[in-house]
Amino acid sequence: MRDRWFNRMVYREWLANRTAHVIVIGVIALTFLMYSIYGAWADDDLTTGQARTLNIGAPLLVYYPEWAVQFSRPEFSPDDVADAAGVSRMRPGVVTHLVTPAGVADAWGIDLQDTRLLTTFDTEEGFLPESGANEVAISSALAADGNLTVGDEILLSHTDTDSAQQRSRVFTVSGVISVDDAWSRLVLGGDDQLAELAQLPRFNAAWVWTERTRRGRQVMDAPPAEVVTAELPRVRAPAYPYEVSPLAEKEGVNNPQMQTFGGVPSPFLNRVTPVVWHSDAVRDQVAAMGRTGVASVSGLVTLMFLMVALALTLTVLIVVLDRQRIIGTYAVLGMSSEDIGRMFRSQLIIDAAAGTVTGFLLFVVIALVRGLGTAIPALTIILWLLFQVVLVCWGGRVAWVLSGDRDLRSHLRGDSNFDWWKLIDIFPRPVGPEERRSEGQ
Amino acid sequence: MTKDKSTDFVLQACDVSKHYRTTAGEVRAVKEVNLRIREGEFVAIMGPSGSGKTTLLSMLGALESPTEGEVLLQGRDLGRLRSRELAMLRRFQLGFIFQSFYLVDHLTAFENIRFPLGFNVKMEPGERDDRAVRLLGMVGLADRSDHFPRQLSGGEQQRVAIARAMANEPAVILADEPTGNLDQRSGNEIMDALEDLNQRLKQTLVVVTHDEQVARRARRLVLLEDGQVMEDRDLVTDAADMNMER
Repeated sequence: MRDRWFNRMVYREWLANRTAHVIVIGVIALTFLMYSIYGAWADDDLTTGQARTLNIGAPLLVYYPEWAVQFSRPEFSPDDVADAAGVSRMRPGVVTHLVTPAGVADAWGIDLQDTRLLTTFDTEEGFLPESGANEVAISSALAADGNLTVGDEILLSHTDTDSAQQRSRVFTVSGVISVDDAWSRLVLGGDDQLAELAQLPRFNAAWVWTERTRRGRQVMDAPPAEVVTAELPRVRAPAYPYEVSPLAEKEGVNNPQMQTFGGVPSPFLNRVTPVVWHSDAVRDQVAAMGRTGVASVSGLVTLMFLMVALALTLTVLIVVLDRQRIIGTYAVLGMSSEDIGRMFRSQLIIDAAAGTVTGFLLFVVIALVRGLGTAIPALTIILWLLFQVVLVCWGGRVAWVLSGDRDLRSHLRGDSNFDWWKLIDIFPRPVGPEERRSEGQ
Repeated sequence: MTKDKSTDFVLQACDVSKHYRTTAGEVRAVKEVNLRIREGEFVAIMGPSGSGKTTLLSMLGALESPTEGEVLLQGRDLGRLRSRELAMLRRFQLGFIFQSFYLVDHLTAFENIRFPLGFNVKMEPGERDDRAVRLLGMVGLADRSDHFPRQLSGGEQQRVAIARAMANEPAVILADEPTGNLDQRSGNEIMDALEDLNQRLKQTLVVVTHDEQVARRARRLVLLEDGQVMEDRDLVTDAADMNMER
């Protein structure tokens, strides 16, 4: 059956069983939604520095920050993590204290060429600073205190704590930005320029705080108490081994050391999670995760995904088995097993395509609402497509086996004694007289 | 019984038996049945419930495999055929009519008849449509072509099934209790249609029935009891003899 008639029969068969197919589409959509969430946003977590995931291209060790206690370990370098997890996006930053005309302010340097980071700031006046332009943005409170406005020039001075040497540079205020009250005296500039001011070469220690908000990532300033030097592995890191995430706080995880951080109130700090990377093996982090139960959370997520995949496979099986009688009718009318298998594969291709598109649209909607990225890793997509191919072939195989059964009379009655082993018998032998007799029994 | 691999007989059952294993032990539904059917014959297989007639018919139509013996269709042993060869057989050599009709519920009367014609690659699509329309007219349902099975009476559904069975001009049509689910009048109409097929088109028919009145419409009667052939007689000859006696 090669002509349009066959396609028409496929469509009519799909329509006759549309309720079941809609269910299959729904399950595929939800599965793809879950899969793409972990594939896409887990990677985002890594780039924000907030990730505690080992993403090997598929969501095998994935969890969301909101789920578990996060760890800041001094043993790891971003290169180690990048190599292990395929992450190449780490942003070095500079934290220092500068004296402005308006008094002491906290200056935070970021990579001004990274537009993703810049878009997290809300400007009340003017614009965010441009890279290489000797511009800074200041917080609204600092602007009010110092009676500063866009276009003003401010002298930023930094005194080195070791040598007592002071360096200064004039910057132009390009804009006024909204920040949390805890960081009211904020100056935001390019990390390369501020590094020069503080005589700090680029270093691989990054203080990056992120908090998920409805508007996307809102990057907060660093606490003022510490200046991180550039030389590895010596870093004046905070004494605390970890920070507590909001969820952990809710769960009652207690960090008695984490009351204040250089005078900054802990309620603010509890909203953020610092990440300090040093050189060491990622393996230790995994071991640490295992000891603390984080890895088990990841395993739970993986198990959930496998269970959903299994449920989907069984759903497809039931949908095909439910058509046992009609498959028997098709076979009696002379439709070959191959054509019957093809008919059901065609229907499942429709379901897989519709389910994947629906799942992707749901993912995009959620991403837009939450202000997160929609980039799904290529390997995630490839693995998903492979799974769909397996699912479609599986359904076709079940139909093929049902129609090739030599006891069609039972199928017509809808009560066949289905031989499940035939599903995995990829190379069935032609049935000779001896086998035929035993089959008849 | 020796197999005759010539095509004198369109359908042969050679010492066929069917055994089932149940929790109560082995059940022998059909025991060493021999049957030869010539082209153009109208054979009725009759017997009480549980006599094995439907099982025998299933084996003749390759819907079930015999435990012992062979079934030959135009000289070919059905038991040695692969799945694809059996499918080809069912397309072009065999037609089936069932007690429960087994029409495809989501296809109209026209589409049900058109369905098996889709296998006939030698026909153009237009030719297939025309043939389906002709067959529908032949069974008196030309005005019901767009009706779904649920919109047809039992008799009408069975007529559609007859037309479907004839679609690819099979060598043999096998009918399992074709009037079993019908009232007297509809049953008579169906048997009229089958008789007409046999007499006018010389279609080979094998009908399984428990109804004597249905069986008497055939030209040859095979009586089955407890899985064995008790009697196999020519009804036409018998009727002629009876007339002569009068």
